[in-house]
Amino acid sequence: MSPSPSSSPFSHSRPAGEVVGIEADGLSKSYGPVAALVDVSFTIGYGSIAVMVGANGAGKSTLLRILGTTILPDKGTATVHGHDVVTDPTGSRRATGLVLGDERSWYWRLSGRQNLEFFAALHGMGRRVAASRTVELLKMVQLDDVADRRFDRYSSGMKARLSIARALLVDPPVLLLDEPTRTLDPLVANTFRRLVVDFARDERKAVLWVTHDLQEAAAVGHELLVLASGAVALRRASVPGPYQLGAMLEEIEGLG
Amino acid sequence: MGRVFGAFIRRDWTIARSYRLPFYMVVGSSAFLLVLLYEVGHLFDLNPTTTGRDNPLSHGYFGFALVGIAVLQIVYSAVQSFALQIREEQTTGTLEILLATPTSPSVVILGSALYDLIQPTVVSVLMVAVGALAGNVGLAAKTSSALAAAAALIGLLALFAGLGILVAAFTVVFKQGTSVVTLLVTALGLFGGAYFPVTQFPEPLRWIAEALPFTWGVDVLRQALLLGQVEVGRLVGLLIGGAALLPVSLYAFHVAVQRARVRGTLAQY
Repeated sequence: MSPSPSSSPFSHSRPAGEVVGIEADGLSKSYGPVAALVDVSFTIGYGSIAVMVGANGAGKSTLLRILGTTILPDKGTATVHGHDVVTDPTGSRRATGLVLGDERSWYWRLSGRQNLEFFAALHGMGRRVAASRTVELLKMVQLDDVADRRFDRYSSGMKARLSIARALLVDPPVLLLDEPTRTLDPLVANTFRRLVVDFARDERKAVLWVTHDLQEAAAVGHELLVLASGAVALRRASVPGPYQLGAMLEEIEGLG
Repeated sequence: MGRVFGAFIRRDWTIARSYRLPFYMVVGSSAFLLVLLYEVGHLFDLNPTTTGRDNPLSHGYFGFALVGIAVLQIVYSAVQSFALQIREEQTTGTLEILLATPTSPSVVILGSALYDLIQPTVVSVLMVAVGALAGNVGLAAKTSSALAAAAALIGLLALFAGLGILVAAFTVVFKQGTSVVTLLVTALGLFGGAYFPVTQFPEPLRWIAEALPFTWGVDVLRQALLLGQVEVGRLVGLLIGGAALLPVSLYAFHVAVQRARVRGTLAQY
């Protein structure tokens, strides 16, 4: 797989003075008596992949969904490419590519091409632009030869690659990935990682990558964010190797 | 907005085409319904109870019931399509990703059910046309009545789509709501005069029936299609009702989506 052509029909002008792709400041969220996020703050710059790890229930999905505007925070602020996710959700959505590890977020009886063209329309593209952008992205993720195959006949690897194609429809400056390789075999997962890493580096995307796979975290991450019980337990400007990372997580969770 | 609606229609048309059986079922059930109404109409007309040229029933039961049932089908789809689509998007997991796009929730809910509104409307109009031709129902061929029929159809669709969107808003928050639609529409069929004239009801029920917008719609369409007359009062009532309820229901849907965002339940089913 090769990164996208650098010429893009979509421009996301960077807000004046904006140096970070994602910024969270004091984010908190509770579901009834359960605190899902507690005073979470961090920034992710353009061209950087921040991996977020943590135990089940640590608040990773809630944080990702707040940034993706499908959950509202109780307190704090968050901006994506300078757009506040609460007060300017539309601007924020235009600047975000969301990759869900969940295969359920697709229309299974439509082809890969039809799915992408449909979502392109929801991002405001006209039919001709949507069609040509879809062709470009399908080629980029090497699905052009199965573009007209129904989604339910795709392999897990193909579905994951289509997910990244959907996230890149409007060439967003920010990517949010929620366990994108969860269902993939190691070989396909590795190919997928290389695609995203190369793309994020070449196109200077700000990427937040949620994963449970410590080897994956070590392989793709430039920065590390560890969540525990809804709070940021650790932030580092580099990601240690998987064994050291595992030991750190055990210590944070009180298992070490 | 038009291109987004077009995308929704293409999506649902493609999915509908991928299932062959429902298409044949619609054609088959419509044909059976026509034959059934025609035969019941014969029985009914052997013993006429209503006379007078200004009564739609005086033109035969077949035409009377045909229009009533066509309206009932359209109203049924208008009320249920929105909630069913939202429920399906919830269970298949596409609702969250739809609402994570820049398209507004109002456009998403309207677009989601557009195909499901168009399809039964086309089938019902065809059913009336085929029934009129094959069953020798004399449809009034006047421009004013055709315009009144079209306006009544728009008013009915807007009004009952508004009701349907309210049910969809309820479904977003409570993950249920579609079951109430069947009860509602069955009651409308009974009390709204789809199968027989509301004048047959005893007094209190008749008042209720006369107050239902569904009854107004059926009456306006029957008067227009069968008698070539325009019931201006009820037509205006329908159009005002539709114009008032539709924006209110879209606002309610927006509030429901916001509530689901606050509770973090948009992805749940």
